Amino acid sequence: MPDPLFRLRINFQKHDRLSLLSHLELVRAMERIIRRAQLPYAVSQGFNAHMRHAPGPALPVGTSGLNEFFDVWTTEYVTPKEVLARLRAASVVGVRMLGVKYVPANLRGLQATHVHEEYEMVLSIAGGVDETMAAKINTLLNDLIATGELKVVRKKKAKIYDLKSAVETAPNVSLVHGATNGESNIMIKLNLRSSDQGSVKPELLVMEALGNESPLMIKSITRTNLYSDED
Amino acid sequence: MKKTESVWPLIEPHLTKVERPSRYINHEYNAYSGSPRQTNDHSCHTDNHLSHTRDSLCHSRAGGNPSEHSRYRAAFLYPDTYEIGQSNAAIAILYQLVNTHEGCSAERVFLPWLDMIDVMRKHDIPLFALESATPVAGFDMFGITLPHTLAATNILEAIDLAGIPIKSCDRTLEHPLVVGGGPEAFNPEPLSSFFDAFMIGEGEEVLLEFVDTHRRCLDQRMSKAELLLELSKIEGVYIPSLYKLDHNALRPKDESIPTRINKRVIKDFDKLPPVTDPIVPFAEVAHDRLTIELLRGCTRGCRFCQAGMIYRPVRERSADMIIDSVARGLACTGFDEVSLVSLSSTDHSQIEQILKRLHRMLSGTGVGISLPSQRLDAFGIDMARLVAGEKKTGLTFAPEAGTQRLRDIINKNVTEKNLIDAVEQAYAAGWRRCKLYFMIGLPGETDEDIIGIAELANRAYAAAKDSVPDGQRGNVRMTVSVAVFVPKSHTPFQWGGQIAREEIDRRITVLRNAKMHKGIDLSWHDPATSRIEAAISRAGREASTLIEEVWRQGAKFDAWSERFNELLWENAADAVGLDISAMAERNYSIEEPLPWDHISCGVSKKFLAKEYDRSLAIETSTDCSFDRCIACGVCTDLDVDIKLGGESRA
Repeated sequence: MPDPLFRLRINFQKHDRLSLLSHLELVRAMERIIRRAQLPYAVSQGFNAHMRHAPGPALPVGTSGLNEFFDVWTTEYVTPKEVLARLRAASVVGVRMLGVKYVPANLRGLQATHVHEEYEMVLSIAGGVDETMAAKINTLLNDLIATGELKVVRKKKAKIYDLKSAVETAPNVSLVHGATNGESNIMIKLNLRSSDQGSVKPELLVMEALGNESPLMIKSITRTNLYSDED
Repeated sequence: MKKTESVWPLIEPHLTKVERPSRYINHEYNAYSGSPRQTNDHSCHTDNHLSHTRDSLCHSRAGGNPSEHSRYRAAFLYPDTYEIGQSNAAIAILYQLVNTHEGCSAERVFLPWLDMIDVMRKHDIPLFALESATPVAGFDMFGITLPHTLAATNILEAIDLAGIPIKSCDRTLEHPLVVGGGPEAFNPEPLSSFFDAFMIGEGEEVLLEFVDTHRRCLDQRMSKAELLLELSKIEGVYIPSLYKLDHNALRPKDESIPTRINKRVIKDFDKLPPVTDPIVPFAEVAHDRLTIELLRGCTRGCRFCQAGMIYRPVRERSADMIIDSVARGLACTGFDEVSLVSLSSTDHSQIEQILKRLHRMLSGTGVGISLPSQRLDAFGIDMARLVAGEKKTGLTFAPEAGTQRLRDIINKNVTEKNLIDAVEQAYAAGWRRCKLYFMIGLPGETDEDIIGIAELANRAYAAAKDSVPDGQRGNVRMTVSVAVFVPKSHTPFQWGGQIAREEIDRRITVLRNAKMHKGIDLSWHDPATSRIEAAISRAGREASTLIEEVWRQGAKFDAWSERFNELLWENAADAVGLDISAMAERNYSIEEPLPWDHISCGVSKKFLAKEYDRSLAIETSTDCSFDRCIACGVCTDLDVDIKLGGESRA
């Protein structure tokens, strides 16, 4: 087996129904796309030989991603244009290949570098929303962020997130109008930063701020951007 | 709601709240989009596959129009969750077959998991087919795979969740035709009141004949009675409503209806290429790999084994076809593993050549090969070594019985020496764990045979330890897995009942008390589920009342050990006046009509009786794939030949 010489960075979108895939399911789907595309992927040595790759930071189930990344090591050079064409032909509806480039093989991992996350959440309520509601949500969110921490209990284990470092800029809450039926929705834009402790799920942050009794329904969550300090 | 309207907008808001939403989303690679493909040339990278759901071709979903009336629509259910059903090879074959048939389309249906069923029932969302997300009730055919006895309650749950009356007699032309097929169709009577029709045997040919006939009958606006009569003329199709009980035997209501339904068998299986563009699931499924069927049938003749009788004769695909299919299949799917399946894969006459060529082809790709059924001898280990590489995870051997006497009774033609040789070779080659599979409650079993299981396991364990280097003996593991024998229709043991529950418990105690090395783990298949299987699998029409009642009491997912509830079955049996013990333990006399006498798998009843007699005399029988014909009747009755390496045997 030749040494892996090249590291390809695949830039893609995960959207539509595939936003419902788990991180593990997405990784497997990407592996299968790469094999179908017949890229010269490198194989790890050892007991469980497998494709050498490194996915970007996980997207929560139900969240779309418009600027996602996936690294794979290869043993031969294929032009990025050719790689992209092959990946596109081998992909599935809901994984849209945007571009590929070669990056240095020894670069730090995506999960360590791509710590800046921008999210958009759309919330709705029966009967529609108004400016007052948007202002109230804005206040609730800012109040929570001002406390400096978010406590999440999952499977009886509590985890505390430091919101001072996790929330990069103040949230932006606005009214948006649905394209098809003209109904008003709330749009929340969040700029978050992940750390060694993991990343705050925007859904948890917003639901904690609004309270469990809130009649607002989440219509969609999208990670619109993911980037590193170097970008 | 309209039967042709997509329920997707109704289910979507709930999907982030249920377990594994990827079960319900469709859009997998190689899934059909709803519009039929033109042809199938077994290569996924051609323009003929425009209707595949793939990114480069269709960012919005390729357009199937479910309201198009001229198209015949079939929905195929595997009566369990997506993870189990999506792994099923039969569904993959039938799905491709109908989707490439002119004017037809097929979609997949699985039983949603309990959390999703609750959501659907609460919000009045009917069971839907994945591809179009339209209700199953709007399809022309609802085809249901009958994989095993314990799927019965899931079948009723699915029909009911679809909003379709569960009984055939309550359904009209407004409803899809509910059709069953698969191993359980060989004794269809326990399910007969829920199905309009059964297809007996291999489905590749009969399904399309069925579809064409059904479509013609619908075009001609026939009544349901006329339509069923027309379908009964197809070889291999059984219409239960056209038969009635007469002196304990099922007979046709009319002279024009066949008295015996012969199974369908693909004579030219060797010329039929395997599916090389199966759906590539997102969710991690039970068998998450490319499946290539090496051969069909097994004539080793184990007397307890129904599969060994109903899938005869042996027909092998050639090595060339298999290698070619693996290459195409991997390119079309991107799987990282291929499984070479059959009832007994190492029995393929060219298996060594196949494995060596595949090994060479896949070397360095990270793609693994798996060979699910391990032959119990040194050759089997040679073959296992060829596929395993460095990854020697575990091997399963099935001696089935603890003594040679009992192995001869059941015609399991392996010796203790075969087992010891296999174990020695496996552990010497680097394996450190294996599983030995046995049954208790086999006909003719004595306590010595049960103690023999422990003794055989001890000797195998000692052989394993002796075969590994000194420093590694502590790593030697062995599991003995025991199940209770369930007598099945169409086998030499079809006449005798299962041993009584108390006797099962006593024999289990005998084995538990037998001295087994502490390095051997003993595990059990729950005897309570085996008892229900025994009660249903050889029952007649009366059993459908029990199945309906237990489902009404809430039973479903009975094959999931954590969901199985014996008490529900007992209560249901009481309610309908049946006795589960009596059903499970029932002995039929050789002269007495059997509930499945009208269904023929080609193996004659005379042959089965002769094999039963030979078991009583502790005489073994040979395998006709390697040895002389023992006149089971399949080849002559169904006009089919044994084919080895893709060629008829001289």
